Amino acid sequence: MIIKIEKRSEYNRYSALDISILSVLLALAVASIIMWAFRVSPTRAYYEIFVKTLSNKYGISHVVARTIPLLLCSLGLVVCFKAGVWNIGAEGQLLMGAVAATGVALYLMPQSPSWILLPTMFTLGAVMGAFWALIPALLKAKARVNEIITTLMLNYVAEKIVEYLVYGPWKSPSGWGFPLTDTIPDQARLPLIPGTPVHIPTLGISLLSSALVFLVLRKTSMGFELKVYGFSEKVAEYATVSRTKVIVISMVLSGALAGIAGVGEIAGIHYRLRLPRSISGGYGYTGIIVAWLSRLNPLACIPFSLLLSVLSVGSDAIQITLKLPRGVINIFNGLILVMLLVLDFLAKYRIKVIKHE
Amino acid sequence: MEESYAVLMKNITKKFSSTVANYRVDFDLRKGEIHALLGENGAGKTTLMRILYGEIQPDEGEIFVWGKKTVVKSPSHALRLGISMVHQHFRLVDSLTVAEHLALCSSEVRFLSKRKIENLVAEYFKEYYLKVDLDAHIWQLSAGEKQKVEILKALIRGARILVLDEPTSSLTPLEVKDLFRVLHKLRNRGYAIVFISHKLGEVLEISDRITILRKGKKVATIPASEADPVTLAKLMVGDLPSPAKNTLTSPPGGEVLQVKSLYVKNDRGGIAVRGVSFSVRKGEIFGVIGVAGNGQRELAEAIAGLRRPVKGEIFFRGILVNGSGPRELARRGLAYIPEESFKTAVLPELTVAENSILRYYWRFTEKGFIKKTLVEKWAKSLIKEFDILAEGLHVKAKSLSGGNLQKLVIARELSSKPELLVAVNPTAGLDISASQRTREKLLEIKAQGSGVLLFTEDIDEALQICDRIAVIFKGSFKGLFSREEADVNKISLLMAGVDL
Amino acid sequence: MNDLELLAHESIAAGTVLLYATLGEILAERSGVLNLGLEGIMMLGAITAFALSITTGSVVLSILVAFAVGCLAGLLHSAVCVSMRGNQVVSGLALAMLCAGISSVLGRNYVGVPPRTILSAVKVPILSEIPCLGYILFQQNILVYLAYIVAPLLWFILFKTKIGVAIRACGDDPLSAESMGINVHLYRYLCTVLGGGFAGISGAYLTLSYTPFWVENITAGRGWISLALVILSTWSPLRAVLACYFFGFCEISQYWLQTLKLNPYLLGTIPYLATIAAISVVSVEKIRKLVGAPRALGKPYPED
Repeated sequence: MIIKIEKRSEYNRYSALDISILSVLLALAVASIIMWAFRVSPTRAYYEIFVKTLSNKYGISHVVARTIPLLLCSLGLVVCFKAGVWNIGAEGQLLMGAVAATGVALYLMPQSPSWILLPTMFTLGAVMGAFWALIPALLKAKARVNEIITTLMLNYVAEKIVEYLVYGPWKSPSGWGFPLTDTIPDQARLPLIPGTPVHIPTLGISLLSSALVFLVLRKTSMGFELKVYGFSEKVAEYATVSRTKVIVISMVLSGALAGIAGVGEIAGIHYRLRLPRSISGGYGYTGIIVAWLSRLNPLACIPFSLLLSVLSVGSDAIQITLKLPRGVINIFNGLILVMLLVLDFLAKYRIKVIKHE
Repeated sequence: MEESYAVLMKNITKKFSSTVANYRVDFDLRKGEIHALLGENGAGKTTLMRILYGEIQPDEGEIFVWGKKTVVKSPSHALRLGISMVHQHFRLVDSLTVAEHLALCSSEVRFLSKRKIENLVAEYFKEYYLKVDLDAHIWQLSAGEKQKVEILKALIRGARILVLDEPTSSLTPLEVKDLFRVLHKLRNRGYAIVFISHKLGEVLEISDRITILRKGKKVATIPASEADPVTLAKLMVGDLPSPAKNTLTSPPGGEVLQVKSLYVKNDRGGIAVRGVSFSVRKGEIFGVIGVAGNGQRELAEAIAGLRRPVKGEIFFRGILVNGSGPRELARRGLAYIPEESFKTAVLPELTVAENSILRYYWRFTEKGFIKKTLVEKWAKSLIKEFDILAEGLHVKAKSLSGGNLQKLVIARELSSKPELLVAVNPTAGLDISASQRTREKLLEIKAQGSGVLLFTEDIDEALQICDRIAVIFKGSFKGLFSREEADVNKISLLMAGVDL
Repeated sequence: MNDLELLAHESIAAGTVLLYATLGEILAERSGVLNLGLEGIMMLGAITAFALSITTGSVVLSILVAFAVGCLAGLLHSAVCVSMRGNQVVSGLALAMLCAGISSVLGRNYVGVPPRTILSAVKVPILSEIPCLGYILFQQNILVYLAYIVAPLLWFILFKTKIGVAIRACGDDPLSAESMGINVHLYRYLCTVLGGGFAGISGAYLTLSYTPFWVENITAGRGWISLALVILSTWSPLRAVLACYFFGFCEISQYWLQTLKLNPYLLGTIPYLATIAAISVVSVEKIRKLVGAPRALGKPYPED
């Protein structure tokens, strides 16, 4: 008996986004098996995650609040992945943006009025994030250094820098020794939708960015160059696309977006710098999931980041009620990606079992 | 009756989605014979042999191997039946040594014992002129030596039926002679050999019988003794199109390309181009002819800005361009058709329209945005002018055949109204009529004043359309002829490295 | 035994954590498969070994099960990448996340639990009496000793046996390999599964010997560092030994430097910055060396 794998002729039968949705559902299904194995009731868990989270203002607003950084990160990743540049460092870029925002608000110009302070925070945050991405970008562009490893390593370095700051020079004297900085002044805080943690300017920036990224990728020559390079480096060189330009611009843009997300978290949610795990619950990594689910379509990033934020907020809830650890969200994330790959395969190929004559 | 045949293929039909690759083809192969399978590109020769080799299954027809009816399920199965294929592009792993390849192919050798392998091949070395350095890595070998390794692999596996697919495509004339010696010896020892080729001269020299395929159908099978080039050509192509007329235009203009003492390295760090100097003028086609692998690729890439020369100078339109990138050169009017352009100069995942501007998208860009209407207009004109078969502008290019992709590249580069066109084997892999069309187009742009630097492996093509011809061998130019002076024999000898 | 000897001794101990995962990944990548999931698999091996050592008290069983669990993870990766032609980068990242998540759930009851059995150092008779080197090399635990054997063994298999030739063929040119009758998929499965298993052993070593407790993120990025070490060692098992021990030294040095009153958090960046520096250096060399990654690394076979 031979198992033969053949390409389907009707490849385009299932839309790619359909497959994405299906993979999320399948992932949830498999996760329920895992939960059941750990004697956690899947129905109770999903009820908590979806129904309870979305049935009140508190839950919905938190979902939206989490969508903001997730969307920003995923958009940057869409740009990078389209170019075939594997930026796994959005997490660190976000943290560095947060550091910049805190620095500006607490030490650089704490007395300035909002209309100067806030744009400065965002700008410097974007610059910091962009810089954090520039290092691996240059290494890759000039010396072909594997960016997966460099961006990842810089994530850990960024964490250490934040730890250094909150345990050291920036530690608040009034914080009872906890690893926290002072809170930022009122002028440095973003306006919120009343009664919610949703910081409006960053929300606006993220939605706008989605449209902008879409436009750039679809209609500009820069987008064309990214695409071409992403498909084949050799053909891109033939096509006179500048490799350095593509790598640097995609990474810098991605870093800037992640940096802005970091600013948003400080100026909109925490109002101080604290331990890395408290600031970013893995937005940089979850952003990878969103980018892939969206098939690198910037507009699709919006619904998918909402979806994953629901999962994230919901997982937090079941942490308390069902005594599951933080890491459980990773199970969902990992499963979603795996299911996506599996379903992509099934959509593209047909499995034939041929028996011997 | 069927027992005297090594292979008997009856009524083989194979369709690929829209094309019929083989239609009711009969083919037989006797023991102790060299049987050539002749036809132009796309005639169905390789498909037929891939069916024999078990890589694909026929839609209809029967196969008998050594008299027994068989279905060849896979290449491994074919090997067990004693059939071995030597592919046109060698299936050798560059980083491994000859000995390691042979060890893989032998069921007796467990560990890499040098002595065991030597014993294994001793006989083949002696009897069949197949000696190679066992410790050499594949990347160190010449094309002829790689060929020998492939044949050794087949023999070690116990093959009695050898299928050689375009075996001489990368060999120097001397190596071809070597190969023929090997094949004759094998034939005399009773091996059955299929020799796939589109080269008439070689086929006449080496084979006992010749089967001609045309557009998927078998046209004839004749003994080589009864064949001659003209009949064969007619059978291969049907009616020969008249060769492109190289009309005498006004004498060529000023120099558009000047190369002085150029040295270029290859990917391995060695020198591929040694001190080449020449120039190409406006309104002329300058041909560089040579066997594959003598530095053409590196030279073309250096001129197109994709490879930095280590020494020497390149002047394009009078300006030194050694350090310029490809964009600069394209901007100033350099068009480039690289080797195997259907692979190297198109992206199958992009649409036809996008591919039509692949190298020139910046010409269609205004304030950063790509002008869609301009692109569509351009793409439409390319398709019309060059007869490209495509389902639409916005379908992915991967739906096009290799030949049509190649035509798209040629269309794109030629239509960009270049000052200089650098083309490497632009007609390789195209069928005869498409090749002729391409040559006509080259003559057209020459008449419009473009300079053309044409790299080719086909002497006939060079003689047909080039105004001047240089022979390249091991990275140097070995002779420069004008059209009138060009002599096939001299050129062949120079290509083989014989100094005149 | 002086400071330097202690440093060397600890470097080997620290380096061994990285060594198993690196060796395993060399095997996988030599066959053409990139496995970015090492970090997660290491975590999984770590918690599995720890949990088992608490419940059964048997160190050997814990290591074996960690190995098995790692193999399972490798099997999943192979299924997605090799058979289903999935993108190896995405699949590896997915695996890393999934395994990290499962480890986290598995470990929820083990945080703060003291270890029951630890892999203790075993003195090798005679050899451990050698001055200086005896202490450094031969007063380690059995997993360190096992690594002394596994690394050269792997080298031998890869370069001196027919199987090794076949594996390398799969990684460099699967098309040619297949035409010589090599079952590319089978070899890739084998190497990836074993690679995962080795990463599991790395994790087991962590919680049974090096840092014998469980917290989330106990691996602290070592899985990613192993990936870098594969590049640094140019896919050679013997060079991997040197690279890993050197990185063990980098890790140890941050603690030693802390005694000099340097900030622990900033010192904590040393292993990560060292990794970046290391692969940057190698990448530039590489172009000149022409000894690089297996040609077909990361690409599905057959491609279409």
